[in-house]
Amino acid sequence: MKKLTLLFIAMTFAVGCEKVTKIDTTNDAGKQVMALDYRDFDQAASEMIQSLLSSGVLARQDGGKYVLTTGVITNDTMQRIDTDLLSAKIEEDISNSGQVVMTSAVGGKDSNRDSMVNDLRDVRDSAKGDEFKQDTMPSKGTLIAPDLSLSGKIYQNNLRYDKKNQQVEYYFQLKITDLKSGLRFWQKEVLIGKRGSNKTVAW
Amino acid sequence: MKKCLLMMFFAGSVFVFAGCYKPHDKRVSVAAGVRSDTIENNIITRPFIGAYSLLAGEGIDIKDVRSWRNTAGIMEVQVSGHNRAVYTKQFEYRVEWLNDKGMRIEAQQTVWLRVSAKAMSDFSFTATAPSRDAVDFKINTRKAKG
Repeated sequence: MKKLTLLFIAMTFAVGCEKVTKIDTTNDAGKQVMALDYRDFDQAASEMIQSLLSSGVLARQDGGKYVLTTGVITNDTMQRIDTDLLSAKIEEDISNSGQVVMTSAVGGKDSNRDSMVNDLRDVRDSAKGDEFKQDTMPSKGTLIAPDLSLSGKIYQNNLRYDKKNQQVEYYFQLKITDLKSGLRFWQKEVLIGKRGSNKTVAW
Repeated sequence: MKKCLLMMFFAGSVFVFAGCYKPHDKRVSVAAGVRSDTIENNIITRPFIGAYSLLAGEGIDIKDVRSWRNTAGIMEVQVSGHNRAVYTKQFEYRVEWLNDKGMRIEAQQTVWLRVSAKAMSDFSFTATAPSRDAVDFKINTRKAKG
């Protein structure tokens, strides 16, 4: 019985000593990994945002703001990535720059749209619509169509570097297209390359 | 006598190898091994210069910091410098943008970004502010890891 109690106490201490640390995401000096981690998305997004703001394409000549939607950003890597990890950062900064307004009425994927925009209109057109004060319901023809669309892809290329090491290249490619004319206003590619042991898995 | 001859041979070699170098336009940086040798960069003296550079802890010098507003009215900054070390120096920088009240502007783009400065060469990097509100900036650097 005494031995069992001691074993229980020892196990409790052992479990309690498992070290978990919070990542200092502002000054992270942790080792690099072969797969894409948050630092890679931070870098790619930062370079994209700076290129976009530096290009001046978002500044309207008449002083107004462009309406921007996020189209399709394809994940062409071997990893399961939510491309919102990239687009959300870009959307946030370019909205805060005061040069564009994002729309949630249309978008390339569900997370770019707010389903309530259409749901509320469905309610308005249904029998339940009479239950609402009519001047609080959205009228027809009130949605603003986007002027510009942000789209692109993330591509992964795996190469054999030597017998023991591999090279993984990640290409972040984004473009902004004027939806009326179809003209491409801006595009940028950010390359993040990593080399490491073949034993490390890049997906 | 032998020592004296060896010294003379050493000194002579340096002048023979380093004799062909002519200064060129400073805007063009020609790497060691591509350009003609100098006394500082010669097959005989290179190891000593390298060891000195390492011991002296030579690194980067910031030569110029200039800022302007682009066509959209957003502030941009360019930092130019020179890597005095005889090896490529990688470092990271992070730009924090400040508004007219001296407050930091929160932005996703404020992250550590990497610069690779070639040995004994000039380098530069540019940064763009997140909005027109930015009127000033602070730049921090740290050693690049991994």
